[in-house]
Amino acid sequence: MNLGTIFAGICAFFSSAFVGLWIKKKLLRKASFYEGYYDYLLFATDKIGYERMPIGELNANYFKRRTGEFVAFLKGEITSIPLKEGELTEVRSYLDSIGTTDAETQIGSLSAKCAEMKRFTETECVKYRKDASLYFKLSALIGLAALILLA
Amino acid sequence: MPNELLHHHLFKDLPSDVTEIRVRKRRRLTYLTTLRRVVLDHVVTDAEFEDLLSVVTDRSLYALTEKLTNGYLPLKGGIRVGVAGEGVLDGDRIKTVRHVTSLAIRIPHQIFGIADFLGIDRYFRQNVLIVSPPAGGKTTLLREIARKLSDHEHNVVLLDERGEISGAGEGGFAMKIGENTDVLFGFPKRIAYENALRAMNPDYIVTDELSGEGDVEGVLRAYYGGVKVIATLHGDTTEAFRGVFSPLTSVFDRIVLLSKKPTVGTVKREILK
Repeated sequence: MNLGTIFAGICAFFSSAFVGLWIKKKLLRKASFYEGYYDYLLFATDKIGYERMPIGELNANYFKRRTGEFVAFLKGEITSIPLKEGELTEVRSYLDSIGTTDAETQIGSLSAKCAEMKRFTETECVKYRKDASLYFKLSALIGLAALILLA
Repeated sequence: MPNELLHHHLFKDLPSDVTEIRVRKRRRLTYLTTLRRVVLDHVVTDAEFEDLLSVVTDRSLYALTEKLTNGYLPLKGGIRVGVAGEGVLDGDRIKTVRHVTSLAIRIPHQIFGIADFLGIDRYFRQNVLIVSPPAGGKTTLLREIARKLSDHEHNVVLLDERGEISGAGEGGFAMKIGENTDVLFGFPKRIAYENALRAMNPDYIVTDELSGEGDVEGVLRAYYGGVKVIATLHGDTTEAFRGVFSPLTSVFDRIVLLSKKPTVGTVKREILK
């Protein structure tokens, strides 16, 4: 056993743990983003359904009450969004479509989207959170194994 | 420019005296000034039309559904946007308008002194009806008469349901309407006459586009109540008092008939009672 291999093992452990942490953070951000998206859709459905609140006023009200990944995205404050290109395009495209139809069609569309996102957050977001924890543990374990082997 | 809508890229080359812009999906852009009608080569694409509609509706078409059923949207600065599309019926009433295909954007202009040549003194203590075909300049003339009367210390109540005369919106007025003018903006006419007579003690009631029994009843109430009325009516002859308007025959002291030719606002004929 020499200091070089111990150092290499420690480096491998930390590198692996760091990758695990990075994956975990990314998946948690993704889950948080989608939960924020769902929360926004619920808010929009309520405000448009009952008050016909114009989108500018609706957003201003929403920003007053909420913070987080999705709010920052809506405000255009973040450039790094934890979604794949196709996923992001889908979200953007739906948000851009809000306000382009009459009230009845709009409310129907928002209700359907809310139902879809409810299912999504209950299954996919839970999975993202579980996977985040799992990936971190796995990476740490791989790093530890590398450390043991090298040492 | 009275409204940011007119900064839209579709309108960047239009002259400043434009009074009306017709935007039709997949058709050529057309505009009117007080002197001419111009058809541009530019064909409005679907994307351009949707973008413009989004600006007009402030990205909230759903919030304007009820206003759309009236066929127009009142915007800031007295701009009125006529909307044509597919009407969706609920029983015998229009519930909403879908698939909008045309926008008629009417831009109000204030021309100071336009009423001077009529000799504004003649209109003191008179009931006056201005008759003109659409876009004949009657609202511009009406606005100026109201301003003049108001600046001559008369209490003028403007029944401005759509904010087109005063440019009402967000608590202010885009047009100069005189020191002694009160504006009932957004009130349906049947309520506006009642409120004006009961609460505002007017010398004059000024109103645009008489359009039905509610207006006739309101004008008669003002007339019998000793309040003078200056109003406008769509038409191109001086035989204005037909059908639902026949009870107004004895009300107006003076009828002014406007024409669009040779230019908008030309007085074609004046009739004294």
